[in-house]
Amino acid sequence: MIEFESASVGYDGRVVLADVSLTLESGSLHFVTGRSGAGKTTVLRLIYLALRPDSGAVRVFGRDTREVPRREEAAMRRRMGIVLQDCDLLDHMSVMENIELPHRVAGRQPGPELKELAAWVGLGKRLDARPAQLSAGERQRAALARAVAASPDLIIADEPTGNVDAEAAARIMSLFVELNKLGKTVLIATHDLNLMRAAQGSRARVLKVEGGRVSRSGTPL
Amino acid sequence: MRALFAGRRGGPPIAPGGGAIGGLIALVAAAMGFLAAAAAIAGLAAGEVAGRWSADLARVATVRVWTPEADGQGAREAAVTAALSVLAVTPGVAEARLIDEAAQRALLAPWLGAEADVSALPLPSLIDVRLEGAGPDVADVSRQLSAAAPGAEWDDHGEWRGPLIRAADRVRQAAAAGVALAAAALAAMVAVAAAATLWSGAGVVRTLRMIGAEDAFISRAFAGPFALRAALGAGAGALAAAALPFTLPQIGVETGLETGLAAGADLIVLAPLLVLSTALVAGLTALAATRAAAWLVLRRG
Repeated sequence: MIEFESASVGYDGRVVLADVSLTLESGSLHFVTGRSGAGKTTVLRLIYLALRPDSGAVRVFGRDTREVPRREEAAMRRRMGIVLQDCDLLDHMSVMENIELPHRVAGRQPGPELKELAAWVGLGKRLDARPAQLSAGERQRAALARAVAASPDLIIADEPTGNVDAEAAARIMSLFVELNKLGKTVLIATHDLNLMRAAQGSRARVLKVEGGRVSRSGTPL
Repeated sequence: MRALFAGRRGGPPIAPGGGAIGGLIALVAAAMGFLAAAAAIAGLAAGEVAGRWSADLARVATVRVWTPEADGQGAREAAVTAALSVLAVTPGVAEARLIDEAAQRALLAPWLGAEADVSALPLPSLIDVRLEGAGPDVADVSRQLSAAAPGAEWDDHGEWRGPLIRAADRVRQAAAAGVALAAAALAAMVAVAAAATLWSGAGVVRTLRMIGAEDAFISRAFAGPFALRAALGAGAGALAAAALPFTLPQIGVETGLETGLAAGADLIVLAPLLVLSTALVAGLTALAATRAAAWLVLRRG
């Protein structure tokens, strides 16, 4: 599903990832770890087409991202569910309206299953609440629900538990594991060891970013 | 329709409300709508007055009969009688009437004073001619008048009507330019406001992109509410402008100062059309301006 082939990228003359090659199979669950600034987010940005490699290739859904024209980026992103640390919920919309957003963007009518999805992430009774009325954990779960609302093939999360307590983080992690068990490919960038421990018993693997390098297929958790 | 303008498809607006910028757009649109509608009304009024004056002048003509002072009053009366005889049998002439000395004095009173001795001035005798149908053949009647009374001249007031029509055309062109400038100013204002909103709403844009929104979807989401505000504001401004003639003192024909701005049945019919068309043009202008601004901003983002 995702393949890096000798991919290198840098900012402002500094090499962040150098000659990275890795393969993520469909239905896998991977953690991307490393110290702050190591390049975890860069790996994700290369996948969700916010960045293109300076050299080498990154292939997502079988397509070389350098050859994806701008007008086709949106269609590729609709096959992904992206959860970022700051949630990016739209403040002027309710929880339910935020969860429905991917359907509206795709021009589809939101169905009743989205209420079940909200209940699944534990927000069944908070559907009308605004993001500002939610706790950090609830916001993150709402963001996760929105990310998976359109049933994407690939779920990408960048420090999804960075702003929540340990209990909320464990709950969010259990949701990712469940999604993976449902066949979704999940990729989570985190430096939170507790989050990874919450995935114990799953088939998760760890991609460690260090010195601009990443292990090819990761090591078992 | 409202859902379309609000940028929603079965849900709440995707772009934030716009807050102060949204209010500002409505206010500017109201001002521009007022100016554009006022210019349009002024242009229509100018056309109406010029048309009426021109039509009035086209229905009358004047025959001036010059006779040398030395020939005396008898020759003058004979020439007038000859001219009147020609006019009496000319097709297209309904009535021909000599303007007597009292009436001439009244015509000249505004310039010379009521007590002026008009008889002492070297003035021609004037014959007021009312026309019917398409009027007479001017060349033919001029020839016949010259033959009957060598000092008689036919004046169909073309010298006055031409400049009047040209002046009315200029006023109409100025009004059209005013409408176009108001629309351009509104477009520029909305484009700047839309660009500012898009920049300040970078978080919303980023979120929409993350969930796979096309640029066209994002620009529609922002353009709809702006277009709605511009349409409502401009409509309100146009309504105020359309109401203006109803508040003016009614200056009638009897004063000779008809402005064409008088509130009449025409304006009652015209006002709703003016308000709707101003709102529509403002809405579409804002829609185009916002989408153009969004296109530029999103391409850079």
